[in-house]
Amino acid sequence: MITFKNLVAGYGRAGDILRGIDFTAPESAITCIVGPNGAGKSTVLKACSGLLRPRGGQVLLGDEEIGGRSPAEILRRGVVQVPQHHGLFPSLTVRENVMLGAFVNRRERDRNRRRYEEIAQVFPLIAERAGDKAASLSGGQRRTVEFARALMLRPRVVLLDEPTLGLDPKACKQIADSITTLNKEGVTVLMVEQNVRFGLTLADHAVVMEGGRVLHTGAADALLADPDMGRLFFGAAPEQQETS
Amino acid sequence: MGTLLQALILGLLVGGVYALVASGMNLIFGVMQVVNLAQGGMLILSAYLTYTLWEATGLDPLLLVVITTPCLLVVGWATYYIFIERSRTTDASMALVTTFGLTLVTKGVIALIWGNEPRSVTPDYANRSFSVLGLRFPQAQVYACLVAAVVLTGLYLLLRHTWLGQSIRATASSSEGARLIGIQVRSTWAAAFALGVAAAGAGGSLLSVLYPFMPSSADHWIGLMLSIIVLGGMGSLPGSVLGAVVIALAESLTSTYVSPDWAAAVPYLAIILVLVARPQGLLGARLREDMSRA
Repeated sequence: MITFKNLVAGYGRAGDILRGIDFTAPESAITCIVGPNGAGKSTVLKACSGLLRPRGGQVLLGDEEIGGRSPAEILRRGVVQVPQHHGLFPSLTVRENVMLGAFVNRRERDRNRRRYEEIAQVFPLIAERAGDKAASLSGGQRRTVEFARALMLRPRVVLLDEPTLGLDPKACKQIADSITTLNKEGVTVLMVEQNVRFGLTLADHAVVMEGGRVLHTGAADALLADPDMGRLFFGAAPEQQETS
Repeated sequence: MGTLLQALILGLLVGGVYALVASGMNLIFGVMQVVNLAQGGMLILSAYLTYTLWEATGLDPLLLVVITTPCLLVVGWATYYIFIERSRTTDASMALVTTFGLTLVTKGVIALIWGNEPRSVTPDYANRSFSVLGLRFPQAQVYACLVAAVVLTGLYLLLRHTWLGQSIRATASSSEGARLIGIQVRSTWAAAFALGVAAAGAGGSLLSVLYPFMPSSADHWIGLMLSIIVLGGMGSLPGSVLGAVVIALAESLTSTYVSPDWAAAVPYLAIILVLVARPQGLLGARLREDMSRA
């Protein structure tokens, strides 16, 4: 379970992007953060993974404060982020990319090798394309490799930043399957998604953000069915979005 | 035919040494996108260290790579933390200016310690050759090429098959991605820079046996290194080897069939032709994200 308490964060000398965030991503569930551009959705994930040091408030993994720790320390506690861009290393092979997911535990060679074999069974693509350069993969396949890599450390929490960004509908279906696979492994998923219908259909819980603040939290299916929320925050009701 | 074969043999032997000399600069560029103009100064510094150690101990100068390489590794490590890291955070072009300044300082320090007159390292085998089927294999070039091959193979295996190598290649692809999997990016950049300078350390020992050198030789070698990595592909280690061999062969053939005076112009002609016809180099990647191909 990840809890954000009055979280304040921003970049450089600029003003705060997050202005007191409060919500909880429940254990073993999929939580989706939605909201307009500039709402601070990705910043929440960066503050959680250690890429960004919070200026105030707390990020709690269970009861432990992880806000302000380094990415490596947070990884060791079981929180892994799959970033929006540049998460994969194109010049490395698929196998090397996946194995690097265990970089912080690199001395445990046998355990890492066993874990890799397990993951290759869950994601057949990993076994099929093990020796290929990641640069040769399609967008959806790249995402699958990133998800597979995220599982190397048997994470408690996976943070997904715009997992369907730039992908076609077929690749989005692959991603949905991969996220479901992650969740079936008992992983808590906290994701940011611009494709509101995709995110809320997949998620158990929803968080709506705007201007660095949380406007609404609740069940994802309820939010999806609420025409007022659709009109207010997504420009149109979900049914209208789908047909537009 | 014999003349052609002889020119090819000399070109290939020298190409091996050129490959080592250029590989360090290319590694640094591939990982950090920094054109390290100080690399020529580091190369000559290593040549002078070899000269001093050879005079003091009488040890084989080619075997002194086991001393000069770690020495330059430390120099590279310190240089990164003291000068390069800070300049990179301000502006990308500042790193270039910083390395240019470091070249001037290195040449000045070398001149203060060893003077400006040319030096050369001349072990017993410097003027001896093996003779096979009427072809001449100069011993110094043969031994230097073998040492360069061993060092380059070690560097390649390190980049391919160790966690340090994989973290260097991953950081070259995406520093943010690397950070997210727990790689200490700052230390990795320092390690890559140090390894690059260490390669110049090994190369400096080899060239001290093959060519006379003085502080200003740094300028000639930096020009040659730039030619090789532009020709082979910036950021590509196999590209360095290919570029080095092509340039060494071109120099050797030009020297044999045209004039030794024209041989020095070959690297610069190669740069111009490559920039016009294939800007990414022979084995270079078009995409910046693919720059780290080891």
